[in-house]
Amino acid sequence: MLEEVGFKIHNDEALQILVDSGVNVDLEEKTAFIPSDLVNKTLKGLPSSFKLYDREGVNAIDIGGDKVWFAPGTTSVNLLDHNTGENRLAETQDCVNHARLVDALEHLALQCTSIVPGDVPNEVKDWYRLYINIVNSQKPHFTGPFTMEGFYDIMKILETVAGGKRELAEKPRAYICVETSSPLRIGEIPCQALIECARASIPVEIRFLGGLGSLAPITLVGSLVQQTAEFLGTLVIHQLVNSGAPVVWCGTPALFDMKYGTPILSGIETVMMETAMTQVGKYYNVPTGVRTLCSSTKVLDAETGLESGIGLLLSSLSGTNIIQGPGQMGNANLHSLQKLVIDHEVCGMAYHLMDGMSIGEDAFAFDLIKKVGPGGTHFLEKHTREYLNKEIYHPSEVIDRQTLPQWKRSGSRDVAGRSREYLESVISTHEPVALDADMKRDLDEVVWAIMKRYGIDSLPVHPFSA
Amino acid sequence: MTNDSLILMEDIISELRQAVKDYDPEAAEIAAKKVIDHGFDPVLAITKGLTEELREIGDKFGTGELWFIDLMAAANTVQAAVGILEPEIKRRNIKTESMGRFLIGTVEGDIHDIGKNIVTLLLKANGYEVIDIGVDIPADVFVERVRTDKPDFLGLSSLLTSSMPQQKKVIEALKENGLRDTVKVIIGGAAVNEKWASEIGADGFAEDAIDAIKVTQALTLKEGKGD
Repeated sequence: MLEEVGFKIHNDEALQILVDSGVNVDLEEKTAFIPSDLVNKTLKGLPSSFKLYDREGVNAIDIGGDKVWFAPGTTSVNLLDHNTGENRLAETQDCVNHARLVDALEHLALQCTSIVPGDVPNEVKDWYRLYINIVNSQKPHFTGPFTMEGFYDIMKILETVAGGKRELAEKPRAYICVETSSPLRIGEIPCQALIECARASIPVEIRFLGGLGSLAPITLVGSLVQQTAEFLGTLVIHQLVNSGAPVVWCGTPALFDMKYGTPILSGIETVMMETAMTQVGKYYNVPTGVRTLCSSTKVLDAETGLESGIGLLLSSLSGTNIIQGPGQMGNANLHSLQKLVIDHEVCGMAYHLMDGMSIGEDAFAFDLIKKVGPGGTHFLEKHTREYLNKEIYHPSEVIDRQTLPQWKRSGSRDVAGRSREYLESVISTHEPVALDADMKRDLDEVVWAIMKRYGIDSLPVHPFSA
Repeated sequence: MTNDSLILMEDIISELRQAVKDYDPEAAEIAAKKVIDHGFDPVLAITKGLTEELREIGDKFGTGELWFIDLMAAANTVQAAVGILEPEIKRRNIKTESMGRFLIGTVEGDIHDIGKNIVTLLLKANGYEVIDIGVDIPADVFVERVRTDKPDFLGLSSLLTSSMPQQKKVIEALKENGLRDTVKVIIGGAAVNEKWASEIGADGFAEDAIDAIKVTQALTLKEGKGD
């Protein structure tokens, strides 16, 4: 596909890199015809895993192999207000609440710039939400730029947190999203961000959106092949810039709804393709990512639950390395803190499912069964107490397990009510680890310099004024 | 017209309608050529043979009986026939009113065009003259095209949050060049919303391709054009 049909690259630097490597490039059409031997060579040199570090550079998670991590979905402009139930434009305070909540939720390994603050100037929308996440959490980050200026601002912020360019390369605190423009194209900004990340050894996620029957063939395998071609074409550029630079292959293949004429991300076909893509990724030995918890719904209802639940479980069992989506609804146009905590429960269930059952003589419990005998109970047995936390997943009060009378007595609340109470409690009681004074000062100076450059006097959450 | 001619014209109109039903652009072109070869009325061929059939398909899409791709395939077939009939209408100097002239493009910094392409196809099928100037179009090029092409409508597509400010830039540039009042500006794109549209002073905002047609038609009616 890459050799015959070609890959259109709206970036002169990338085209030149390919020309210099002997690739046949039609410069006028901006199309490269990438040969398979170059692709194979690229795949051989690819790192099969990399580490992502927390803010202080102390702890890291391994991205790769069969280890599964969960991260909130991204990037939504609208927010489902957990107080009013209203679907409204998101604001800075929502970003703050989200960051603090994600910091507290144990099964979410990563922060994401999930929410676009609508109450700030356009020029700051991308880096500013990252800044808020950094201030409110130690967890590693997933983010992406809206413009190249935004990209350089993001890099500056990350370098400041790490203590320098080299330090950031050695211990990356974030990985950056780069998306292709199907079919078989990549735009100027994503491509430039790709090149810069490769140069700086910052991990990059190469992401495909596609669209069955719109921007990709309607047949799932056809779409999968196109997705793979787009990944490989982008990967070749990335690895030519810096062989061995870390990368994640992400698929969020959309369905094009043939009734409403819009892309959706919640269909069973998306889940099918993402699990298939993970299998291909494992064949290539490259870290994988998917977005399988994004529902199409605009309210918290049964459809929301089932779309998230199905997606999350299937992708966990596939062993995808980074599973994104908790909190995301409305086909990635709407974010919800309530959905985030509900999805978080499913993440916990998924981890429990992946851990499997305890096996072994003690687990088989023959002697115990004999001891308890026919008609006896296991309530008082030490064995029951010993295995309670390992064998059984204990959900938070977000998940309803009460009897009917108990449920009525505690207010007859549905999941919307229970999740609202839970998230409010977490946000008000959880204290994220604060930035140390030196890092805070350095970061504040960088942020202030960016604000000054844009002529911005103040932002809703900002370091200090003039 | 003789009786034979009437029957023949009716047959050709049936052929056109069948071609649209079958989503067969080639068959549509063949039928369209027959209209010309027999010297029949090309405007009648369009209204009776194409527009009516498309409207029926549009209605079925509205009720959920047909799919989005059916609508697009039908519109594409209509366009194939119109491509043959329109030059004949010009050649014969027949006066027709298009619903309006629509200039459309994706703003600077953005190469996404699927929404724009669907809108273009559907607008054409609904009787609008559409000039699609492509993707990644700077504001001054939009202004220049508005000046020279004199469209009734200007459609600005922007998928990316980062390129949305360009929609504002184009509107400002039209104002600076004294052209703002000559054209109705409609904006669209996944990140676009009503608040942004009213903030930048757009005349309309389309949530998706189908909505774009509705918004355009509503603005057309307001202007006193069309049925």
